[in-house]
Amino acid sequence: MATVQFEDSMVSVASGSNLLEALLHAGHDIPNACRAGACQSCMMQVLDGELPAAAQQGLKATQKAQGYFLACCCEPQTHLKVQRNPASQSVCAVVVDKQLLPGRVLRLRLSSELDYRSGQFVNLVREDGLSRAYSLASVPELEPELEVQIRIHDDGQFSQWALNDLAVGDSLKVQGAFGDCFYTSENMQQPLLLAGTGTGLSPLYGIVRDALRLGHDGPIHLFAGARVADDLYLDKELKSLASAYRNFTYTPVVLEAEIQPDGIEVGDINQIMKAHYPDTKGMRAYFCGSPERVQKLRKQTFLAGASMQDIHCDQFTPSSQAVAA
Amino acid sequence: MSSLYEQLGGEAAVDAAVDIFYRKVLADDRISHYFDTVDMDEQAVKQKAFLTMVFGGPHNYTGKDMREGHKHLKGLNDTHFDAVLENLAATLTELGVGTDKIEQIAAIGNSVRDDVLNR
Ligand SMILES: Cc1cc2nc3c(=O)[nH]c(=O)nc-3n(C[C@H](O)[C@H](O)[C@H](O)COP(=O)(O)OP(=O)(O)OC[C@H]3O[C@@H](n4cnc5c(N)ncnc54)[C@H](O)[C@@H]3O)c2cc1C
Ligand code: HEM
Ligand code: FES
Repeated sequence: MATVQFEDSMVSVASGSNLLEALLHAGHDIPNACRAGACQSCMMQVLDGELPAAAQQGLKATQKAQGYFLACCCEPQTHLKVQRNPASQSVCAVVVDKQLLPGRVLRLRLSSELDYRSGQFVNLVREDGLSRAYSLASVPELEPELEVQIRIHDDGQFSQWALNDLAVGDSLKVQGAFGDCFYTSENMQQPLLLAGTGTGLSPLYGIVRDALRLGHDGPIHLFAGARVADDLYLDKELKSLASAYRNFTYTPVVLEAEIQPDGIEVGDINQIMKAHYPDTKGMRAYFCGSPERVQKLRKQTFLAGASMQDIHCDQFTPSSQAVAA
Repeated sequence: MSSLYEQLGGEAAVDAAVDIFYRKVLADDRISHYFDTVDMDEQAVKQKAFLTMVFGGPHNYTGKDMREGHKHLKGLNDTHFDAVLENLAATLTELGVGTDKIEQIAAIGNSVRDDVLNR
């Protein structure tokens, strides 16, 4: 057991537990979602003391150097002094629109004062503290509200609650914005390759619109995967973007189809992307969605020539608070 | 005279080599299973540590660390070790590094062979 100084208080972390649990238990409001080291929303900064190596697993060298670490992976062995991640915000948001899209996707629009980049993610926090990470499909310069697209899981605690109980006019706490999966305009000629399945499309939709808004010049190609054609929930929006911008191409991909549907490719999205781009050298890529899918896309794109630094990913890791199915 | 690491171009040279080396290693069936972890970013950081070390750059690893750091890699033997050196040499050639420097780098690598192979 070790003690940790946070703001003006001291908490002790029992062995087998972690700093996030101890801080939450003591009543501190610390952003968190996965509690498994994946979402990085519980990131904090150490001011004094020795961190266990596991607390910095997976962070970038620059983050490590600044003393950033993940509270949910930190079981301190000796006394630490820590502070909140200075970059994280916590704001109140009001639901202004709620819509069920095809493919069991719930679209929420929230009014809030959050600073963010399109494609980053936030934690939505219910009154009782239940919290889940969702990516932002909105572009702050194009629309005033935050937009999230939530896949409804049959036994999903948050998604079922959002579908059945959350109403327009209700408020939610929003923490964020996190992640470095967003568009940057340092190389406007670079070809962009984006792919995602399911609601992995949400941040990609934001990133594409952000890039186009900023006048990205190089070709932009988005592959959107779904099980069946009816689940391609942003099909209309993406088609109209593709006809409005000559450098934007949209390729819908479905796993199953009885007859070859018009303008849709059938098969595995990884294979189809590979057939289009056997060589990815010099390209910049964005992949979002289920961890298995994203890891495969990343590896294949790296092996085909893209530089690691040019591959940006958001893995939708399920929360460790999820009740196992 | 400046160190080998400086002559190679320091950290920028390491950064340039990481992508190429990592791609080769992942594509090499003899050793790819050791490097094929889910967390590619973490693995890239370790590749960088490896390259800095064999380039003669600043590091804090001791022979004991090399022993500890590799002993969980099941079945690691000379064949794997040679494969790593081979990919390293190919990476350096691709970057236009001369043969005399490649030999110096291979010698640094070989100096920890027994530690890495835990014998
Ligand atoms: C960085 C990040 C960004 C994310 N962005 C989005 C987003 O934009 N849109 C979105 O819909 N989700 C997103 N997620 C996932 C989201 O945070 C939740 O995990 C998801 O909505 C399920 O929460 P729940 O409370 O409804 O289900 P839970 O109660 O957590 O889980 C219920 C059951 O569903 C299973 N389950 C949970 N997630 C999945 C999954 N992905 N695939 C298969 N089974 C699952 C669980 O194992 C469990 O059995 C993101 C996650 C991360 C880490
Ligand atoms: C040329 C001699 C070698 C040197 C100098 C060397 C050096 C290093 C260094 C510095 C690290 C990072 C340790 C850390 O900070 O965690 C590392 C990790 C690693 N090395 Fe080597 N290495 C050598 C040979 C090999 C060989 C032959 C293999 C296998 C084929 C190998 C596989 C690995 C793996 C898999 C890791 C990551 C371990 C982990 O994730 O826990 N190395 N090595
Ligand atoms: S990384 Fe700690 S809560 Fe997700």
